[in-house]
Amino acid sequence: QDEVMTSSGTEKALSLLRRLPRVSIGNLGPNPGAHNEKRRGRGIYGGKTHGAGSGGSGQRQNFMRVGYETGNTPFYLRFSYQTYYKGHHLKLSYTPLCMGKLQMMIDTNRLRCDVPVDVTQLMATGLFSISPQQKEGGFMLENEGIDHFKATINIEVQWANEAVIASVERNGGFITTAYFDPLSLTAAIKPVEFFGRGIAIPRRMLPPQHLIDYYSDPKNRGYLADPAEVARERFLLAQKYGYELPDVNASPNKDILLERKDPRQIFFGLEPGWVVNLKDKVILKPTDPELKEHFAS
Amino acid sequence: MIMALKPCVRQLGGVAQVWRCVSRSIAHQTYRITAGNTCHDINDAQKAAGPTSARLPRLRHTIPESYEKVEVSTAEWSYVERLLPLKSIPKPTGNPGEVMPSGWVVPSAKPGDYPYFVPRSANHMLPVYLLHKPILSKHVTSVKHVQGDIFALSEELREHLTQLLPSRKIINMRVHEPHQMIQIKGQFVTELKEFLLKKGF
Repeated sequence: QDEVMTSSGTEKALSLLRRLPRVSIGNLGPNPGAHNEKRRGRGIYGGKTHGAGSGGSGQRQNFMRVGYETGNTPFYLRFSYQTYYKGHHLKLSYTPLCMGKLQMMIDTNRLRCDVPVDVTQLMATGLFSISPQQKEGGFMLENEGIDHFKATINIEVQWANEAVIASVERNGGFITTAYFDPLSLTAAIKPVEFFGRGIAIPRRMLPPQHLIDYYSDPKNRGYLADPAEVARERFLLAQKYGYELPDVNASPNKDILLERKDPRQIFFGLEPGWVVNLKDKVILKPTDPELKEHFAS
Repeated sequence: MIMALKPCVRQLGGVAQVWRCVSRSIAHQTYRITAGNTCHDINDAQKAAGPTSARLPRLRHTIPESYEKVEVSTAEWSYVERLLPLKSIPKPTGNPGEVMPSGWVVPSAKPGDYPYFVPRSANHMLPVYLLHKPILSKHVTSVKHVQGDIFALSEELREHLTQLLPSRKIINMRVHEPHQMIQIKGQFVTELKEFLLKKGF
């Protein structure tokens, strides 16, 4: 009886431990007062004053929303549009590619020249990123390095000026400017991903109203221009810049240099309507005459 | 994408009349079929919804079986292979020390030539970089991947820069041996690249 009456706190604690479950993170908690739960004071009844003392609205940090001008229409809401942004959602932007960088890529074997160079080949280098969803149209060639450009290539970009065209043609190459609509561009820049989707190669759409003039102009070597006029412009540009146009037929890469895409084609050699099966390494072509007519149109 | 042929039905004096809202020419244009999309059999619809019929046309939401017949070919596979990107960065070809039209130089130095060795980066470029946060007027030129006796290279660089810029009294340099890097306060990218190219790196 003495033992029961004189059970100490330790014995009580130990007996408790024997009964309780194993200690784990799930049944532990902080001691009272260990965590200071700060509650943000709001207004005069919050209880906490943000370290600014209490009393008077000036001492209370009751901020209004950024830009609020105590009732009148704020500056950032006064103008619903700016004229210099008009039509910005319709305009495309292009990734600049300097001729110097193009030459460097060719020199270091980064860009293969045994095939015609187009958006797909430029993206295959892994040095660029294009997002058609952000209204990016492709590549535009820049003037930097045109004097040192020495490669003979057949290149297809989305924008090029006169000096760039001259520098390409001076070395016996060919340049074409071609438009890719966003869906076609998505397919062109990542062909492996596109083929993995298992859908037919789409037809490339024609340029929008404000771009059709650019791509129909032989001066810009547009893909919709008359090839005879383009040839004439090549001759005239050579005269303007003072170089002699090298003869294509004499060059060893004649086949590569003369390869061109149809305006409705995205990839060289592959027609719209075909489905490429990368796993089985075959191409599936439609046989239904209606489908064929649609894709050929 | 595909416009639905919806003949309007209007009640005129108790008699239901049907007008074909979509003209024949538009219907022809919207006859766009791609694999996976539903198609309209326009002919069926036009036959069913005659000028006096009150019923809506019976539409077909299935792809005709003739579309599934495909021709399998491997003749144009070479064009597909052209599109596949390379798995690794290709190696440049050229004689050691050759200067290419773009100004890129083929490396000629070997690891034993000097007490140190500076290999090219993964993209075959010189590992000289300019660290600069545009908002600060603080430029640091950094030479990375320096193997071997990095201190020997740092001394040579200091000598070279002192020669180039006699007005400069102090050249602040930081040699970080574990990171194989030399950092110099200032903008010396062009000078250091020329120095390394002369050495053959």
